[in-house]
Amino acid sequence: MNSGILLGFLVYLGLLAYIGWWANRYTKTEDQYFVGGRRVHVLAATLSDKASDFSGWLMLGYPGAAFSTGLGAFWAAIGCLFGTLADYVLIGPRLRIYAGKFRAITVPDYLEARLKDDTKLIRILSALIILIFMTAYVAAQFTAGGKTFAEGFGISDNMGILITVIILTAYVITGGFFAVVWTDVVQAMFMLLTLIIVPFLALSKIGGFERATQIIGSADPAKLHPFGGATGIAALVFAIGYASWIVGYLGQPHIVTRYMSVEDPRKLRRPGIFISGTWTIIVLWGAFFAGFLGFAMYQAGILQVSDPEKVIPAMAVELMPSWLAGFVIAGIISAVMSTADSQLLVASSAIARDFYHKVLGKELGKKQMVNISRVVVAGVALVGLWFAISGPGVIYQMVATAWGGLAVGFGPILTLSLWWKRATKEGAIVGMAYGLISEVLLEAKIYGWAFHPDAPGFFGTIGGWFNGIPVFFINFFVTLVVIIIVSLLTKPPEDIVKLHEEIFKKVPVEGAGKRTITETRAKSQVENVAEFVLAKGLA
Amino acid sequence: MGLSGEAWATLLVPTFLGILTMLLYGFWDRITGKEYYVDKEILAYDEDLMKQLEKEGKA
Repeated sequence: MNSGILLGFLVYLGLLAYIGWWANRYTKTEDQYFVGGRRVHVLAATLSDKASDFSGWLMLGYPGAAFSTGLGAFWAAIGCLFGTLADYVLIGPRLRIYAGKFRAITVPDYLEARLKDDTKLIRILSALIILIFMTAYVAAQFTAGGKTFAEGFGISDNMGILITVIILTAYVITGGFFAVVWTDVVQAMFMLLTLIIVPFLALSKIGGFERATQIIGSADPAKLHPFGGATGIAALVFAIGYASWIVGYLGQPHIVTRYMSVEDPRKLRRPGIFISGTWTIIVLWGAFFAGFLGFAMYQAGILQVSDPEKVIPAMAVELMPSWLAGFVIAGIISAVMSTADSQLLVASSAIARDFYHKVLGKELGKKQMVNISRVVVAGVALVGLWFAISGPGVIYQMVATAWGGLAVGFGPILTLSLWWKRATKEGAIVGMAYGLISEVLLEAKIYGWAFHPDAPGFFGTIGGWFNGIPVFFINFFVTLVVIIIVSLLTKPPEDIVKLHEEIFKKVPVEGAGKRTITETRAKSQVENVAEFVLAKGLA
Repeated sequence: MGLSGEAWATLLVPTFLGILTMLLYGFWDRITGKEYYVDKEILAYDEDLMKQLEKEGKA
């Protein structure tokens, strides 16, 4: 094992351990354990949002897609960027306002209170969607962690998976949400620096961008084409196939929970969207060019790549000084862990908070509830570990299935409930049940990731219409329509309609009435003193 | 060889549109002069956390 890589990694591990210990002081209630007491600093909430969002897929899956497909893979970056922005415009501030009003800790908490569902069906459906898809998602992250450890330290994939699970479960159990968001901040920085360093290093090794494109063009000209060589309708389908990630952003519980935790909803507008947006642009450009230039290096014989998804670890180990390689390996593991820890916590909240506490009505002391949550975290981690070791090893496909399930299950109802006062609990129940069942059937049994005409009978006809388009992308809009139709056929209680109208009222911006220094100075000293005395009620 | 104009447009146009969206949304309150109403009930900080932060002089 390379001692430089090990040293870089141990520094990273030390940071995580310190944050886990520090966060433990502020983790004494369910509110604190799952949502940071709703007082998480905006910098931490927004960087954690992105670090949780961009997983092993950013460091392994996406560069692998850029390596295999070329320029066309940039459409995935476009989808991710606009998905990130859509989350801030459509979900963030409004969800935080409602979460505060209802004292909601989880997404099911919010949906149940917002739609005034006394049947508990929304909570049960939500928890089921989270458990089914999030556990697959967590398992995909464990697999990605295992691959990275295997590449960086020369151990087996399964041993790497086990090490990943032990490290992240330890700090999630110890420090809960605070530990997760602040480790995410550190991890977001590791990811950012890694994805700045790697493409520039690749560029210097290959001898410039002109030479890189020349090598890629002579190997496969389609890799320099924006649509992978496709034209007309095929080009559109190609772009939608990659950019479809955008709608998925609206329904990811591990991402939107960050908005529920932020100290002030107004801060999500500024600086929130700037922190997230800027970080996202930099890492997506970096990850794309790492894979794109990695292919040029592979073609030029500078780099040996056994698996396109391992292009960044391969660049680190083969081309960098060992201390820098250790840093890059830590960056990749950061991407994996920052997503896995958030997903682990959300999946556990579905059992501990939604099923045990709310559905079964078990109300223990604050400390006991936190301890139960910790036990559940360990249990979900073990299930994820089992999936990771025994399940399929292709990260991109596993994440895509889970991403789609969560997108269809939560995206339409979250968006509608935040923007449409007429959304009803019946609409939500039917829409979410449809989303859950249809995603499992369509993606796991009938089509897989995208529509195709080879599916049996009637599904083959539909597959022919939407051939090549991801299933969840179409299914998202179908679910949206289902919820709208059922909501229009039913009636929401008057009090929740009234609350919805009142809660988002806008007021003049604080300080908008304040004068500039020049305006203040334009007044005489006596006028300013008189104004101050009156304002303070001294006269 | 380099990239074609079409390829550069694929990389740059969406990125600039993204930055424009950030700027517009980020300053929408300044543009319109209005922002969401927020009070203590909406902020709803966890009481135990606030007590501890006050004890540590951080709140």
